[in-house]
Amino acid sequence: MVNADDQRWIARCLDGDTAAFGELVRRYQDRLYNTVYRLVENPDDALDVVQDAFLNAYQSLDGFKGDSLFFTWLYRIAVNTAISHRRKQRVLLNIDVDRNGGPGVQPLDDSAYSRPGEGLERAEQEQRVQRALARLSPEHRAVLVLKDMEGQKYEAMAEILGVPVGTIRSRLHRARAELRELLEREEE
Amino acid sequence: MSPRALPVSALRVGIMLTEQCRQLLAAYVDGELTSRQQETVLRLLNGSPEARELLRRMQQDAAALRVLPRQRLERDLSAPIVQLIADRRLRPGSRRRPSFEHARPDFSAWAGFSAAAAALLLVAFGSYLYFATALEEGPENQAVAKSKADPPDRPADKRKDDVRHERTPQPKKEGETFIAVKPADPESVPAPAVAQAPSEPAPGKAPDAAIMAAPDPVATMEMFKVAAVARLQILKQADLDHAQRRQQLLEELRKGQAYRVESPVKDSIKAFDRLKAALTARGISLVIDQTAQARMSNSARLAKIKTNFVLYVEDVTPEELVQLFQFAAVEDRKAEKLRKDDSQFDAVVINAMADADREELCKLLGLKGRKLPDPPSGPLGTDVRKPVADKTADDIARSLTGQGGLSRPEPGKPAAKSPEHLALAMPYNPVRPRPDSPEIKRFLASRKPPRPGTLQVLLVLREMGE
Repeated sequence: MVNADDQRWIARCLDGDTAAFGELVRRYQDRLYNTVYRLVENPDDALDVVQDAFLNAYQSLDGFKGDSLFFTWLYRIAVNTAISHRRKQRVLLNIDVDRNGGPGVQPLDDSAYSRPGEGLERAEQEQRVQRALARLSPEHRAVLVLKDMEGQKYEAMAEILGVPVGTIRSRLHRARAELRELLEREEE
Repeated sequence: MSPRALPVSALRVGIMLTEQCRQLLAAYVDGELTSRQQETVLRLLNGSPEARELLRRMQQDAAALRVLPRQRLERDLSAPIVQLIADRRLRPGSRRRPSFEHARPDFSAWAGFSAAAAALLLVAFGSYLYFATALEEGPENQAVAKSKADPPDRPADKRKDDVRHERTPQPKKEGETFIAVKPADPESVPAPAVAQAPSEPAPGKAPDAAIMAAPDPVATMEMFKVAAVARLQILKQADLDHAQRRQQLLEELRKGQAYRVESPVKDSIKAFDRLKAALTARGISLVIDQTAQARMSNSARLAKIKTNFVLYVEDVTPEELVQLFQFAAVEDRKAEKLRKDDSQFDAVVINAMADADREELCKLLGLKGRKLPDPPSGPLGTDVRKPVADKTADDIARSLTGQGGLSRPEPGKPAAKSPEHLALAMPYNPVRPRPDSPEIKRFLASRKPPRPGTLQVLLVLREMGE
């Protein structure tokens, strides 16, 4: 099931070639960072989590059996690290995305077709969605990010989060209802 | 309460839909329904305006999440990580597997499990003895114990004593025992039965089977009618056979200018092939993005890689759109005759295109902004800012004076080739197209001003799991 290229790099890592792991990092760092960023909401924390996830993955590489995609396995480590991180930080959570230095603060839209103020509206909408996402529990947020932003299937999500498919289904449904409620409160 | 008087907020989270129905709708948004569940959802959508509204909103939210900007690392982490590995002298296997990994059970693990199980049994037994004693004391606790012992369907009149105790609580005595009930895990909480299905799922039956066993999820779902939300249409393949339904659909389509059409299919590649045939029959050429092409390749078919595709077409009249559906239905029936259960387009869900859809379309096409810009108003490929050639100016002048700029083709000779009418196919999930792909560029360059009364259509072929 594992991609042939990944398999080759993994084999080289297991033979002691640490530079081969660098190739795997290069391949997946952006995707992983994007997901983790959405889970922890802070660029510095996201960077730490991604780095920890890669180091953990390297140390556990001998346990990777190849019966799932390498990326799914990596995701599993990263998402769980991010959720734990998020739980620890929850008390101190600042839901104001702006102050966290989120990406929505630069709404510039240089499209030739955009009408005046459209960039600002777009940024506001993004911020609304991000704020609502930030208010969800780590578990609910994780399923929404994995499904809607990463396009993962239930089965892969179940593997990543280490829960049954039925739990993913019900979590997603509750997460969607909660997100809707939060967005409507924002609109009111 | 009159149906019209229902507040908008009542619609917002689907308070009148059962938990099962809402879960099915969420799974529809996720593209994770079996074909049987899909039928149930379509029946539900067909009969419940509230379900339609909830689906529309959930689709909008999902689209809003999809269009959030992707975060990119500002620096390459590979070198620092490799350096850290070297500095800390890490090696594969030097760390115990993460706690969420399934560790191989060995003797020590089993010993631990046994000890934990024994301790748990002791605690359970002790708790039982403790609470059993406590429940025998005090009228309130007796009532609780009694109500627990009563079968749930016991007639109310036989429980008068219990009710009396509940209504006239005794003052609490010192030392009295109270039972703290741990709130159940929200994920395992049963559905708030505002509107219960008529029959409980039979014991031992799979939940899906139980859902399917219900004759019609709509019939008992709503406590009262809600104001109609006519923005979403369900078109079943069979509807296309009825002139009246076709006419009704045409009238609905004429009310808007842009639609998002969702088609739950069993095999998105097969469905796509049939749609392609239907488009070609209507004189619309298809441009397929290279990522989509790769996902439709023979190797992808053999590997049974699932992909949802999205097709964008504009400048189609409502009549042409209905004809397109009809043609696809004909292709579907032909395939069904050759092979059972091979039909793909059992039904389509037609929704007015929302802002989030437009934004998503822009993102798919790699355009900035929230709305697809209007195509240039000049003829195809003409830059209106450039000065026109003398001959063209003469043609225009003759045209304006009623003499006609372009002559009709002579009999027997082909007419000047009309500009290409293109539709664009892209992958939707789990991969997205490359924004600067030559196919997308070609499509954008081919756009021309739409004819009046024509539609923009974003059609998603959503493959449902089996």
